[in-house]
Amino acid sequence: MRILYFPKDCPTLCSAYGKIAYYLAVKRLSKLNNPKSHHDVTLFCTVPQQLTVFTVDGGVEIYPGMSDMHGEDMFLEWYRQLNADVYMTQYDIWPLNKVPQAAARGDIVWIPWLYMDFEDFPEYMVQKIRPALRAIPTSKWLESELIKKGLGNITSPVSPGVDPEEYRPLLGETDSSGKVITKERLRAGLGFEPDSFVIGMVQMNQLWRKPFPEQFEGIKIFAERNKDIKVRVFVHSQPRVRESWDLPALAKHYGIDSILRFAEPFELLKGTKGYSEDRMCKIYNGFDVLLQCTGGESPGYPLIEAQSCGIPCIGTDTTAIPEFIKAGYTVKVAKFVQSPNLIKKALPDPYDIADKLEKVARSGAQKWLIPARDFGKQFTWDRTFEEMNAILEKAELDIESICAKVPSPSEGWNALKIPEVLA
Amino acid sequence: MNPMGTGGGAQATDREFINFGIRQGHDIYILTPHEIGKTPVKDFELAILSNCVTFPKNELKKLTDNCRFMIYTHDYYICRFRLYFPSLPKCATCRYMPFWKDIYARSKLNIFMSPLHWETHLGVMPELSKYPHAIVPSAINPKDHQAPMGIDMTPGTVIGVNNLFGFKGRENVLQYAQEHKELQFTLVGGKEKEVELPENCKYVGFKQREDLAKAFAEHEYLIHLPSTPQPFERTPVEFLIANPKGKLIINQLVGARSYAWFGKSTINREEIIRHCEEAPKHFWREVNACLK
Repeated sequence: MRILYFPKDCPTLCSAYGKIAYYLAVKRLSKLNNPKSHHDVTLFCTVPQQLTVFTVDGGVEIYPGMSDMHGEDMFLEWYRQLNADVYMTQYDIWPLNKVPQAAARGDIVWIPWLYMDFEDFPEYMVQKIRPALRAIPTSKWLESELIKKGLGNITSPVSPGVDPEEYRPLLGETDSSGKVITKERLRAGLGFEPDSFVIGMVQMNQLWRKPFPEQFEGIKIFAERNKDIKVRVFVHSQPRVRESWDLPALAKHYGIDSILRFAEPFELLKGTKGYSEDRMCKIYNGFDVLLQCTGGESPGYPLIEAQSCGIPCIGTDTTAIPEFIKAGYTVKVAKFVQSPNLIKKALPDPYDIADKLEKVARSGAQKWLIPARDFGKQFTWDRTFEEMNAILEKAELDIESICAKVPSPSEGWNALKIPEVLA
Repeated sequence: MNPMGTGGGAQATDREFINFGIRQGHDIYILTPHEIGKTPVKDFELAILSNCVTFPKNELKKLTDNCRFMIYTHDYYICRFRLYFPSLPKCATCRYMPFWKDIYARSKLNIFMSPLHWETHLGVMPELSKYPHAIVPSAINPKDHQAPMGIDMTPGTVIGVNNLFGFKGRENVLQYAQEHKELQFTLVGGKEKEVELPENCKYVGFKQREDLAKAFAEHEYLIHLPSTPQPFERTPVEFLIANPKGKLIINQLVGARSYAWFGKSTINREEIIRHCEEAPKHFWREVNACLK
């Protein structure tokens, strides 16, 4: 099958979208990199790339965007140019308007891999999913919510994976210099004292989706209540983003700026060449807990990465987050906020964040290591590929039956095609 | 599309039928996809579903559940390619089929445009034979297609309309042109992609109806060689009206040709024009019988 695959972010970025696109679409769905696959895959990425085509591993082509980040100005053009069989989106649903319309008209066959990370789907959004040939949820929670809305095209869920060789507990291993890896050394690598309790946060700096004020407030309450614990915070996010949080200013506002460090902004911009998987694994292993109290996730990729490294997680009790925390706790929702496009996002309760941080800090790392690692082990890219491929192979049969491409007419008409001159 | 405005052949036929119905004293309301969900349909005696493929299916379902209705089938509503109906074995089990099977089964009368049109439907929906049906040709008013007097026809010239669309038999026409270098071809109308034309072909783009009648009169032949069964095809009839001595290069996938009155090896010009001119009368005779 010829697949035009839209993950928005280029597979060279270290965002979740970029990494998922790299490990699934480039490395496994494309037959150029995986002999188990028979699919021709071309990616269409709008962030950050524009105006030129380039190739990544094995010669997989990346088509550019133009002026619309959601790709709605170019998808039909690329679909036709490539003579694609299917347009696969690894993306939110709410920004897409022309894609569902094109699918409803039969101009494209559309299979969205749905990343919907909010509660209470408004009807207009449900209607957008209806023209999809198959819609693949990323979690059991999402599958159940969409079926409740009466959609008949929802498949079994497919979650993104991690590479278990890359994401694993490191303690006790020896590094390239022959030294044994210890928690103290990993903490030092993050710039913290050996006896600190490190709270990690791996989340994009986004105003609507990531409630940094509530999380910072929770950390402040926790630190004030537990003076005997040397609380430190590592934020793997761009500190300042236009139209979003000024995180250093926000940390200062909550009085936690002195205990908080950020990832290197320039290294973040270098994508996977800056924060490679190897480096991310060391960062996760340096944490004592991952705090991921976001407004909603499905699935919440850092939750899988952190637990694969044996690290417990704390996340908001909303959307698919509870489904993806086996080692750790969920935090009460204080309230929901609604955006103008009717998306409902959770705000976590800062006091409950403080309570759950305390529970983890007082319980000891050993309690979490095995359950976290075993849970993380379920999510391998090979499993993701097999589940996704099974769905795509079934879809291929449907694509044939619905004449996604113009078929040749019946040979039965050949006898009637003969030209005759009538006077 | 409102048939009382502009449009193609389907709109022209609907316009003739509607005008004839109004002259007969019927109150006729036209619902396009813009109005269908907003207009109460319970009080209508009959809904005629004509050229209705772009209507939202849920609205069509609601309408047919709440109102007596009949179907006037213009192309192939059962197929997403509409006029390019491939008639493959899989068409009988296509995902679009159950919806239309249900509509055709509940319809008071199913009207098709030619015997070929009817038989092609029957091939993928054999159960249609159990329900009332009628066959009515396209409505063509000869006054609309007459060429001005005194136009000279050039021997060895061929005209084709919309032949550069795949479903209108582009490949067949181009192959015929290549095999008949003694003929000069003028290709009128739209095209869906750039194609390399043989040296004896000239593409001239769109023409207004009056100019088209004149062009018809100037050419000895009209060529029309579709690759799939066409419901009727008005163009050959319009050509015969504009050019009383003109000849046709056609195949048996032109629906009009499947009527007995069309003629087998020679063209029954007067009969063809008469049947198309009287199509509105024929149509309303069937509708009135349905209303009884």
